[in-house]
Order: sequence, then C-alpha cells, then structure tokens
Amino acid sequence: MRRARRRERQKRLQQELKHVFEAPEPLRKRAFLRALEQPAMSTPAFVAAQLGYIRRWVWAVSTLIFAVCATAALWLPAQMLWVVSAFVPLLSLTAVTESGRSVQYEMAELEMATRFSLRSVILARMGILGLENLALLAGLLPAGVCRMGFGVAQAGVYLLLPYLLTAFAGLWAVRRLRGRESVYCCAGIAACVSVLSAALQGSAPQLFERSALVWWAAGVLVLGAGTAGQCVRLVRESAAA
Amino acid sequence: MAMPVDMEEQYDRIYRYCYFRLHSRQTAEDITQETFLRYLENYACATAEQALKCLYTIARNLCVDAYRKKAAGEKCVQSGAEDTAREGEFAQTDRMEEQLVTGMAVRAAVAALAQDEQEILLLRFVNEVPAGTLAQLYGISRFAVYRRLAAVTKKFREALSREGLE
Repeated sequence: MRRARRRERQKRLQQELKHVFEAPEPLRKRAFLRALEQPAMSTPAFVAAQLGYIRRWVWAVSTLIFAVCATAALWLPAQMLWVVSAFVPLLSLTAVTESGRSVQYEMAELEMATRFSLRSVILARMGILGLENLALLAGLLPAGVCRMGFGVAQAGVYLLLPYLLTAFAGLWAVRRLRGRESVYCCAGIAACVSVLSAALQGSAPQLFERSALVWWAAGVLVLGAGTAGQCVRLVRESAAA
Repeated sequence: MAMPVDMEEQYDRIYRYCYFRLHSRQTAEDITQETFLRYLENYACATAEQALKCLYTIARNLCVDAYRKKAAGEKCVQSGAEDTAREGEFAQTDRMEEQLVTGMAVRAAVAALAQDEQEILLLRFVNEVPAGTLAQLYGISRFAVYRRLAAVTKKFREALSREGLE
C-alpha cells in the first residue's frame, strides 16, 4: 500500500518535472519532418540489401545442385543429361518459392507499408535469383557441350526447358495458392518435372535427337514467355493485394 | 539507413533540451533541425542508443556554439524581444501551474539546483535518456552516472522537503 502510494507520488513528481522543463510548442516541426527526405539509397545498395534477405538455404541448395551437376559432368558424362534434367527443376523451385515468399507467408500487406514498394523488393529478389540461376546454367553449358558433344544451342535448350517448365508452373501455383500449400504444390511440380525429365531420357530417346530440337526450342520460347508473364502477374498482384 | 529512433518523439525531446540550454524558442528550433540534418548527413547508427548519443552530442555542441556566439556580443535586440514573447506565451501556462502547490514546489526545487544538475535531471527523468547513453554523452562510467543521479535526486528531494512536499 505504502509502496503503491510512493510510486504514485514518484509518477506525479515526474509529471511535474515535465511541466517545469516544458518548452513552448515548436512552430516548424511538422514542416521540417515533412520536408526531411529519407536519405536516398542507390540501386546497387538496394539490390545488395535485398541480397541479405534471400535465405541461406537457397544459396546452399543452388551450390549443391551445381556441384552435383558438375560432378556428373566430370565422372558420369553419359548420365549428365539425366542428372541435369532431374536437378534443374529443383533450382527453379528455390527461385520460385523465394520470390513468392511475401505471398506464401501472407505478409504482402505488411511489406507494402514499408519504405520500399513490395513491387521493387520482389523484382530485386527475382532479378538476383534469376541471375544466379542463369549463371549456374551458363556454368553447366560448357560441360554439356564438351562432355556430351552437344551444340551450344542444343545443350542450352535441354537445360532451360525443365527449368522454365518448373518456373512457369511454380509461379502459377504461387499466384493461385496461399501459405504452405503453395510451397508443397511447387515442390510437387518440381518433383514431377524432375522425374518426367529423367524418365524421358530412358523411355523416349527420340525426343533428344537433333530432329526434335526445333520442338525443344519452341517449348523454351513458349515457356520463357509464359514464365515472364507469370512473373509480371505475380509482381502486379502482390502489389495490389 | 533509416533512423533507429522515432524522429517525431526525439524532435520534441531534443528541442526541449536545446530550449533548456538556450532559453530561446527560435534558436532552439533552429538547432534542433540542424541536429537532425547533421545526424542524417554524417551518421548511420544501427541502435537507438548510438543514435541518441549522436543526437545529444550534436545538439549539445551546437548549443555551446550558439551560447559562445551570444556571449561574444552578438546578442541582439531580437533575443530580448524573443524572451519577452516567450514570457508572454508562458504567462498563461505559468498562471495555471502556479495554482498547484506541487507544481510550485517542484519548480522551486529545480531552481535550487545548479545548471548541470538540472540538465541531468531533464535528460534522465524528462527526456528519459537511458543511463548508458548518458554515460557515453558525459564520457563517464555508468556507475558514475548512477552516483551523479543519486546525488542530484537527493538534493532535489531535500529541496522539495524544504518546500514542504516530500
């Protein structure tokens, strides 16, 4: 009881002290705070900041996939296409799930209220992951050319088609589903594309002949356009959520 | 990097501190704004404690500069007019406060303290600056801050009891 009274007296004293030290209302506070711009951040600094928000497991999985594919190129050249086709969809999976993280965790609304627009954040992360995946695929291209005797274009479409198919279907799923469901769906799509690619190597070798190359190229073009379209829609829908 | 402290809240506190040091509304507000501008231009503190230390250090140095200029004979007519205006603005508030016995006693007790004692009282109990930040600001240890605070509080309480409050 005495302690409570003492605490109350302390509080009252502190209030009185605030009155004693009170200064007249500042006149230009609103105008100053409104006029004070946040210090500008350059694009490279912004992209570098976003780099830190990409989870470590994404980098770890990408490195692992590259290591597995590179090992296959060195030690099992005959199996390389099979291995790459099976693993590249997983690479795409990491990029898709990371790009749709705001939507998956239903944080899009909160992120839109932050300093940078959600649109620029998603675009920056997609750009970083896309470039990283492209660099990995480009790194695997010489192995495909040298070890399996493919032309550059041939090796390129064999690498890109399963990647783009997974990216297209994964982004479609991320746009349609919410929360954990979208992650499971993306994982399922990646697994299906992975198994399908590996199975086609053995069951339909005619698909990998030079004569079928035009169909592969058409597939890459169609899926590339479709993936780009899905990316644009994802960014637009996230920003308008 | 964005400021790790609430700028609006700190604006009021820095302004109150500057006003306490300079007793001029116009100069206090100029220095408050200059403090924030200098902080944003030159510092990128990660924690609120570091930011507060920087803000108060800049504000204190700017207040000292302003005080020196004033002392060097640059005190102009405006300052006198400003003080008169300030007194006018406060007259109404003072009248209300003076009706309260507690308010009068506290005011008298604060007036009985030295300038540096009033400053630490303002920083710790009114502006709620953490003891760690005060230690950095004064360049002394945290224990020394606690000792100084205890001494000032004791003196303040004695003054209050003389006014018949404690």
